[in-house]
Amino acid sequence: MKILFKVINQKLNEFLNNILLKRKHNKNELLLKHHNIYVLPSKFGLSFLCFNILIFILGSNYQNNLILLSAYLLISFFIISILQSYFNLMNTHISFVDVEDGIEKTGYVLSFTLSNDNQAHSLIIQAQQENNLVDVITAEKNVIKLQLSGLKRGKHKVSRIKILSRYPFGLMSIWSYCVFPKSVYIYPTPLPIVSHGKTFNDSNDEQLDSVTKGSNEFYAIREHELGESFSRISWKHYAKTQQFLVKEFSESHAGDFVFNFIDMPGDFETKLSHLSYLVNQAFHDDLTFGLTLPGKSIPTSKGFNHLKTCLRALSEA
Amino acid sequence: MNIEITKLNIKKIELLQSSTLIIIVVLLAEFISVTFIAVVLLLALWSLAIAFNQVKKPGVLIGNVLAILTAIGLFLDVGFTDTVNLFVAMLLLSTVLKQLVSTSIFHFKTICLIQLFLISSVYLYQQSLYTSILTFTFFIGNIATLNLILMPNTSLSKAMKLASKTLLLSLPMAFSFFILLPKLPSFWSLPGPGVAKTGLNESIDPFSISKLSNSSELVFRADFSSSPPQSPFYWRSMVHEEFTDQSWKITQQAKLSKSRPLENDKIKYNYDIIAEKSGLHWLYALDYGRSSTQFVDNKYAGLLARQKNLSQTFKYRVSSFDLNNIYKLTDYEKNTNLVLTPHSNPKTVGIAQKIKQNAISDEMFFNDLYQYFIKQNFVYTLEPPALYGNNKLDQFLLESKRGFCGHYASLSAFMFRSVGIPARVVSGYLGGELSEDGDYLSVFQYDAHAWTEVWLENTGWTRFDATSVVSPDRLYGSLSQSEANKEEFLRNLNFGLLSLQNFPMLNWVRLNLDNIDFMWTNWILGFNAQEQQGLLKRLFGSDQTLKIALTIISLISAFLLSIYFHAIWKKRVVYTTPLEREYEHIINWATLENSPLEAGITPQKYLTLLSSRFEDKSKYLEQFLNLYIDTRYQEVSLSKSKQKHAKVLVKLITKK
Repeated sequence: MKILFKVINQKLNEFLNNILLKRKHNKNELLLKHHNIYVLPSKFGLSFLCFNILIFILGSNYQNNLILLSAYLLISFFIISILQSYFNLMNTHISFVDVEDGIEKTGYVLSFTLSNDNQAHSLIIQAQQENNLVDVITAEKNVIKLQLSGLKRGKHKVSRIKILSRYPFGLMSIWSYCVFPKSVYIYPTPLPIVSHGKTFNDSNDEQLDSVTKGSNEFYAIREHELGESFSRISWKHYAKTQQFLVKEFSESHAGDFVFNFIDMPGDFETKLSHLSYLVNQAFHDDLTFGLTLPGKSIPTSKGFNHLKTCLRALSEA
Repeated sequence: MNIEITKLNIKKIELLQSSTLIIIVVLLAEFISVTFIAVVLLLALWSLAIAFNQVKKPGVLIGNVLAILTAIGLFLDVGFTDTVNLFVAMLLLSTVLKQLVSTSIFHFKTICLIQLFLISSVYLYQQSLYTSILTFTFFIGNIATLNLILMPNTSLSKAMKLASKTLLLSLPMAFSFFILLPKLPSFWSLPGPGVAKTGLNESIDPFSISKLSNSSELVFRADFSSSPPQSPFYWRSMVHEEFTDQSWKITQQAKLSKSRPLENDKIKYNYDIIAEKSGLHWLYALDYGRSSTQFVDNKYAGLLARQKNLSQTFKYRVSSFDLNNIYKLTDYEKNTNLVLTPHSNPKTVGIAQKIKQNAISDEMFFNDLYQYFIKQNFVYTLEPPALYGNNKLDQFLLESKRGFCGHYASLSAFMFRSVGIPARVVSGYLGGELSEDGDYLSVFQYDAHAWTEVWLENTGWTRFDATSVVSPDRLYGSLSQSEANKEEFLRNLNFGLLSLQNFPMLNWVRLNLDNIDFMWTNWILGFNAQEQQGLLKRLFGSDQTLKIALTIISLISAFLLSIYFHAIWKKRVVYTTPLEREYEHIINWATLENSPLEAGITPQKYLTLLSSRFEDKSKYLEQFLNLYIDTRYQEVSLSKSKQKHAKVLVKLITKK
């Protein structure tokens, strides 16, 4: 039952985003005008109207002109507040800035700017069950950063934002949507893994030329140099030989790393999570790395963009 | 949706709401039982103290306990008899209790809504212009609270300004609705709230009328459309035919009866009367009155009464006919008007009969009695001596000889009855104060008067008023204007603007305030369904419904459109430097022609570029460039002719 509901909800959302809102709201820059602003009384506005009718009935029943006048005053006030609310949001300019990929737990960051030549007050930005209140928007561009979580790993369309205002008296809800036609990737959550197998890239001619200073395998002993931290001294040797000696460690194998999906333990998602961790570490340690996935293979490279490519590939797997 | 409102704002909201409530409670104090009002006032002051951070807010448990206690107190105190009072009292109580325990946004919003209703209910009791202005400020405060709830960071003054601007803008639309929308009849009949009973009584005794000279409350206003009748104005309100030892009462028969068909149906005058709220149904008319206004009963002896709306201002139209409209008394009427308590006031009876012996006819007795009053040095005073024991009339007639209208009326009626002439006491009001422009007449409680009507064969019911001979200047104008009684009057009067009438400035203020109040009462309060029908008929002719609907829609649209255009106009681009607009036009034209202004190019360079690109316009562009340089860089001022020239150039340039 719940699943059915969720599926329907999702379908509805897609329908909304792709068909209804496509023409007017699927843009990177949006200027709110009468054709893309929606106006309806809020729930409070509806109860206000109910009370208004009650006051009218009171006045009619007692044939009391002043009570009738109050009822008319309140209904005219309601009508005017519709205009005020509309003018508040009108001519607001929304433009997309950036979207940063993220992981499942923390979500991704969406940034966009809001500005309005005349002030707009009391805007609420709603995205995926989260609400942010922005008090005043002036002609200067106000950059909003939203942290949106709750998505699973994968490539997603940037979620729809709703910009809502109930200014000035909470009687009317005035809103509009922004569906930026951009995609965002949610990477698998990195899961640390200690011992790992890797394959040498046979076709690569490069020798073990660089020895990176690592922390895993014992490699050599050398003399302690002046100024080095005492914590690195091997005290066992000192006990025997009265010499200050320092152990050198390194990553057991230097050179290119190609992380293979098959070598990872655990189920599908866990494998991806481990790969994600490894790739992150490799970048951190400034290594050259590559990725092999079922159906996709990424050649080795270095750098941040390469990391991004790998992570994105992992997301899409 | 959860938005935190800052602590500061909560205090402002509480402040507004509790102060509004306190003032409303004070306004309603005179209408609902005092103990209840005191309790509510205490609770409201508690809320105010909370708003000023003097006291902590009570928890939910205390709130509930308070609620139960006060609810029980309410039902015991106010009771179930007066439903309207009960209803308003419950509303007050629930508002003040809710305010004490309110913490969340939802609570505040609910209080706002209930307060709207409460503010409107004040009008059930008070309808003067000043109350209306005060309640209008309550509405502003309430709406400002809504704004404060929505926006956590506004200041109180900003919220109030916004609220007052919006409400003032809604006034014109409200008034046009008021005039044009047809008034619906009551959906179900409800009794109005009970009204405190200052004023005449159905049972009249001499002293009760003289007490009324303390009060300067307005009773009614009369608006004579055409020529007003001659003074004195005897406004008949009630007829008392049943005499007991102490007082004159209205007979049950008279209360229930309806008017008989007219025998003399020549209308003497037509006028409108706007009656203030009253504790009695009886209305006011000159001579024999008839009214066709809705909710007015035409009763016995040419009297009028209202069926409902006692607690509100009520406007009705009267046609007055000759008082002599009954040519024959029924036996019942005759007998009722002759009954005297036996053995009461024997000396009075004796003197009456002695006068009658010397008179040939009833008419002569009538005149002789007037003479008796003149010759016997009777005095008309607002402060008559108290009379004790039995046979008060004897004491008055022979010993004190100082009395107010009630004494004279009672005495005369008694004397007539004792000689076999049917007589009755009539109570109502005498005279009135004409307004500055002579538009309307105001009648106050101190104008209350009692006189006698006697049945003479030839002239029917005839008025006999001893006051007219004992204190003739009372007859013209109002008691407040009578010179003979001025000292006593001012001594007795409760303090108010009237008691300061000796200061001409204050009197001028009083008269003008009264004028404003009259217009308010006449136009707004007295605008009933019949008047609206009349107005609409005059404006639209007969085919009303469609035309009214169209007018309303067009008025609203016109108003809204004007606001819309005003807002758009405010957002228009303002060109502050000379020739900027024209330059802008050229840029727009050039952009369309695929030569947009690129960043970093000065106007000079740009215009030169354009003039080389568009050869047919080049001379205009060059002229414009020169003008531009002169104005912007050489500080030559832009005269009107040059401005025109620039405009012409632009037109020529941008022409296809």
